[in-house]
Parts: sequence; C-alpha cells; structure tokens
Amino acid sequence: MIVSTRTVLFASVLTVAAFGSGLSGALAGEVAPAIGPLGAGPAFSTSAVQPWMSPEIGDAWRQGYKGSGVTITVIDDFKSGNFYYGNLGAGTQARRHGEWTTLEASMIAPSATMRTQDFSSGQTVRLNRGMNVLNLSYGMYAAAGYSANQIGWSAQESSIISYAKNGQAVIAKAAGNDRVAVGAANAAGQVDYLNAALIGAPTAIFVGALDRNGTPEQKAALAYYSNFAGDNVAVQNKFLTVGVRGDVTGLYGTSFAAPVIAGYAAVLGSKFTKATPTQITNQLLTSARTDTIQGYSASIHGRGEASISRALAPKVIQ
Amino acid sequence: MKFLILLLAGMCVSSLSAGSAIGGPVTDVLEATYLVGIKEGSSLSDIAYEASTRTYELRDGTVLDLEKWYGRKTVDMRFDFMTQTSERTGILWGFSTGERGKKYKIEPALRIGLIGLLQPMPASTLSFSITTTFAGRLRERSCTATYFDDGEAEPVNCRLAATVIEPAETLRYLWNVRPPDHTRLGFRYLLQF
Repeated sequence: MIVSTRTVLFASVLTVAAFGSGLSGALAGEVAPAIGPLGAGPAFSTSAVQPWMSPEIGDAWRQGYKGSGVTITVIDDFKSGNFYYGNLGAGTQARRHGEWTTLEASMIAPSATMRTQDFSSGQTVRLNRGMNVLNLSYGMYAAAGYSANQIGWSAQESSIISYAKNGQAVIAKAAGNDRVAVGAANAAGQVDYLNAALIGAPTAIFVGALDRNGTPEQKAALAYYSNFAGDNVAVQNKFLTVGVRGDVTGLYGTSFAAPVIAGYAAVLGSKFTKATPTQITNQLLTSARTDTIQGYSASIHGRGEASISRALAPKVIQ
Repeated sequence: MKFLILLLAGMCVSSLSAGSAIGGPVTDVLEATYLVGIKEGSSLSDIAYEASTRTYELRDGTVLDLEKWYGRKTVDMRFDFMTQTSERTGILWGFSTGERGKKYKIEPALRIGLIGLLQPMPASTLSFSITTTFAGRLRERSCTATYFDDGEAEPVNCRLAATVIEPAETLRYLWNVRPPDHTRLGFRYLLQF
C-alpha cells in the first residue's frame, strides 16, 4: 500500500499570535492573510550580526568568507497566500514561510548561492556544482503505523532522501514542533515520515530549537514546542539544536532553526572546499557543545548546541 | 622590559660635535667608535608577542594558548654604533641578535649607513643619515592540523587555523616580513638660542 502524506510547515502559531491575529492551529495554511508587497520593507545589510544570531557567526565572518561557493536550496512554501509577520532586522514585514527561511539562511551565509523550490512542485531537487545544502523546514505527515518506504514519495522527496542517504548534500531538517521524539507520533497520531525516512542518513541533520543562543553562563533550554531527539541513538547522533529567538523576531518554530544549520553548513563549505557533505555534516555534529545547555541530555538535545566557531577549528593541531 | 639608552640621531650629532677632540684622520677605529644605542625588542618582536597573547578553541572546546608557539625563547637585542671618520662624517653600523620562538624566528640583522653634519649657522646644526638593514626578517613556520575524523593532516597557519579561511589559503598569511626600518633616511636640524 502506498500512503500519501500532507505537508506541514514548522513555524509555530505564535508567529501570528504574537502579532495579535488571534488565529490558532499548527499549519501555516491556517494563518495570516497576505498583506502588502513582499520585500517592501527597508533594505538592510545581510552581513550584520543580528540579535537573534549566535555571536559566533560574527567571528566567522571577519575574514570575509561567508558561504561562497556553496548552494543552499530551500524547499518550502513560496507560492501560497499565507504570510507571516516577522522581523529579522529590517523591521516588521510579512513574508511567506519559505521567504523567511530563505532570508534567514542567506543572512547566516550571505555569500552562498540561494535557490528556492516550492514544496508543492513534486519535482526532483536539482543539485548545483560544488557543495549543496538543502533546507527543509517542513514535514510530511500521515497516520502512524507505516514505515517510511511505504510512503508514496514524490520525485521531490525521493531526490532529497536519496541525497541524504548517498551523502550528496547536507540536509538541514527542522525537527518539528510537536514536542515528541523525532520519528514518533504526535498527539494527533500523525508521524512526520520525512523525518522517519531521513533517520540514519549520513548527511541528514535534525534541528531542534533552543529558547536562546546558550552560553556557559546563560544556558539555553529546549524550546517548549520543539521536537527532541528521543531514545533512538541514530537520531541522537544526528540531532542538533540552535537558539530560535522568537521573542526578538516574532518567528518561532524549528522552521527557523534549520536555516541556521543550513547557513553554518555553507560557511563550513566555503572554508573546506574539498570536504564532502558527509564531512561537513559530521563536523557540525561533532563540534556541538553541551556546556551551553541547561540539563543537557542526549535523548533531548542530541549532540547539543551547534557551534560554528568550533566547527571551523581543527580537531588536532601541532 | 624595553629600554633605549640613547636616541640614535641625537647621539650621533653629539658624537660628531665632540669630534673636535679627535681631529685629523682616524687612526684608531676603536677610539673613534661610539655605542649609540641598545634596544631590547623591535616592532617585529612586538608582532610575535601580540600573537602569543591569543587563544582559540579547538573542535572539542579545548583552549589552545598560542603562547606555547609564539612565546619568546630569546629576545631580539639591537646594538647601534657610530665610527667617526672625520670631524663631520661617520659610519653608522650595528646588528640585532634576532629572536626565536617555536613557530617563528626573527633573523639576526646587520645595519650599515652614513651620517654627516653641517653647520649652516654658528648656532645651528643639520645632520643627515642613511642606514640600510640586511636580513632581520620575521619568518613563521606552519602547523599541521587535522579537521575531520576521517581527514588527513595538512599544513596550516597556526594562528589562522580556526578562522573561516581555507586551510591551504592560510599559508599565504605566514609571516615573511622585512624590518620596517630596513632603509632609513633621517634629517635633523638643531637651532640653539
């Protein structure tokens, strides 16, 4: 039997609630009406370290390498009439979900080549020359009880899963906002089978959200909405967390955690031009820090909080 | 600690002015040679010292203190002399001992030059000097770094290994610096009233 799924974005409803729309529900399709022309807000420098970013990224930029030579492809909603209010540093704007995640990743890696593909296209995701990073801030839901290979994947998801399993691109996958372990059923009995299909893939990273960018002095906690790693060691080993400052940007959800990892992967790719996607993925995972997380536990936080500074540093030097 | 016994130009003017006590051709080089300056450290030495104060984290968070590579084992010492050749001319010469740390060295240097003195008016003097320095470069050795668990060790600039610069590219920034005063032209006018 082939099981069909429905696509769910991983932006929290607080995105809307924070701006007083009063709407509720977990799907982007249920939220805010379209307003104003896109991109009508003031222009701003994509090279400025914003309050929502980890300060480490500014250190990483100082030498002028910001993701050049790397392509980030964002598969997301670029066509719907659903807009989110948010502020990544240029004042409050309304953008589609995919436009926010694309902007966010491009602000972390300003020199990366950005590509977009609407997640309803069903078309194979094409890779560019050089290092490729895919950002997936959505899930593919169906009732629990199936295996991932029973799902009737479109060419789009089939290509993504293939790239992850064959180590052809770094995949930054938002963990989800159901407060369950990656791969587990949510309260409605639904499973994100895209998560399930990516478990164990060499270049897939599940990205959870912390409530802040942690420091040893001011530790971060897992955001209340974020999915967590769970007891599956295969997930724990591929699970990272980053701070999502919804209190600053108005954008909550693991949707806005994955683009940070996509950007970090691009920055790493611009330094390690000969590295494979698997090496970049592992560098991000092995350099994660746990001393910035309150009550760190592998079953919750996986490898810990991503650290771009440490990921850029050598393992051994003499 | 840094100290400077005498300012080179000023002392040379004084020495040449005192030349009247010698008079005639210089027959005894030792008698006509003056120590005009001793200095500990140099601008190149300062560059290395600044690097020695830095730290960065390795991938696992271990703090790497660059003092172990850029701390001085010996300190660059500079000695300057003037050998008077006539009442109003002299040869400037000197040397530096060089300096060494684990990952850098400042080569010993030799300096040579000329100094002359004019007296345009009874109460004024004009001195001019030119010196050039041979050797004395600051050079740096590379480190060997491994970034990936399955990666090979590769040469990198020790100071820049944790930056976003591509490892091979960091080697372009290894120090290979001439002394900033490798050629020096000086004029000094003194008016007494």
